[in-house]
Amino acid sequence: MIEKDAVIHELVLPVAPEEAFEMFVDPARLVRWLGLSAELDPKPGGLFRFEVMPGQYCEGRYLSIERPNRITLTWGWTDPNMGVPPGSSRVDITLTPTNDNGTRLRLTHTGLTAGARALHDDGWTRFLDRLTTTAGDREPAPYPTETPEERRRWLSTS
Amino acid sequence: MHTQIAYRLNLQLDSPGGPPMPSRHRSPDAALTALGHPRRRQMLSLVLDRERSSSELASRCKLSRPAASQHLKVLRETGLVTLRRDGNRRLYRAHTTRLAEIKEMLDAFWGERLARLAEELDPDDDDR
Repeated sequence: MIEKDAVIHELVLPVAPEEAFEMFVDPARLVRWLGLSAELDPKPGGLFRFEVMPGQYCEGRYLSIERPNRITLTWGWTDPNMGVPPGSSRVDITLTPTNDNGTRLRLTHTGLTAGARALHDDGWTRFLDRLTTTAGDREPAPYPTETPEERRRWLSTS
Repeated sequence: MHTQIAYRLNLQLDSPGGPPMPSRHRSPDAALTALGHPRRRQMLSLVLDRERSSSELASRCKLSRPAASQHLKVLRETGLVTLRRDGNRRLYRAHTTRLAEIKEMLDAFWGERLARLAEELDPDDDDR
C-alpha cells in the first residue's frame, strides 16, 4: 500500500528470518522470485543489481546488513526513462521472527516520486507474492512479461 | 565477499570458480536464461518447423506487440532464432544448429549430474 510518501508492504513468510534474509542477499535465491538475473555483493556499499526485463535493470547499493533481521539498500533503474535513477530511492527491509517459525517481513520503499510510487507498489505486490510462494517451496506465479512501461500504462487506465 | 551473479536457470553455480559470464548474449547461460521463460519456449516451439512473423507470434502467444518483440529480441540475441526481413515483415525461425549445441550442453550437464548421483546412491561401488 501507499502511505504518504512511502510504499509499505507487510507479510508473513513461512520460513525463519535466517532463510528469509538469504532471499535478499543470495543471487541464486533472489532470482527465484525477483529478476531474470542478479548481481549481488551483500556488504555496506556493495552492488545490488538485477535484471527486471531483458535489458532492463534495477540497481542500487546495500547500505546496511544486519543478519538476519534488517537490510537497507538504495534502489533505482538504469533506464533514465523510468525517472528513478540508481541511488535515488531507498528500501528498508525488516525481518522479525513469528511464534510459529515464520518471519514477518516489512518492506518500506521511500524516496520515490509520486509517479513512481504506484508502479513500485504494484511491482512489490507481485514480486513479494512470488517471494511468499517460493519461500513456501511452491511454484510462484509466472514471471511478469510486461515491460514496466506497459505496466505503468495499465495502472493508469485501470 | 565479492559480487555473485546468478541467472534464473542457475546451472553455472556449479562452477563457482568460472568467469562471471563476460559475453552474456552468446554464452550458453544466456541461451538457457532465454529458455527459462515459458512464453519464449512457446515462441520457439512455434518456429521450430516453419517461419512465422512477429505479429503472428504475438497473437498466438497472447502477448502485446512490445512484449512479444522484447521476447523475440532475447531469442535472437542469444542465437536461438534467426530473423529475416521481408518488406516490413519480420520473420523468425528457430536456429537449429544453435539448439543442437544447447542440447549437447544440457546432455553433458545432466549426464555428469546423473553419474554423480548414481555414485552417491551406490556407496559400495568399488570403482571409487
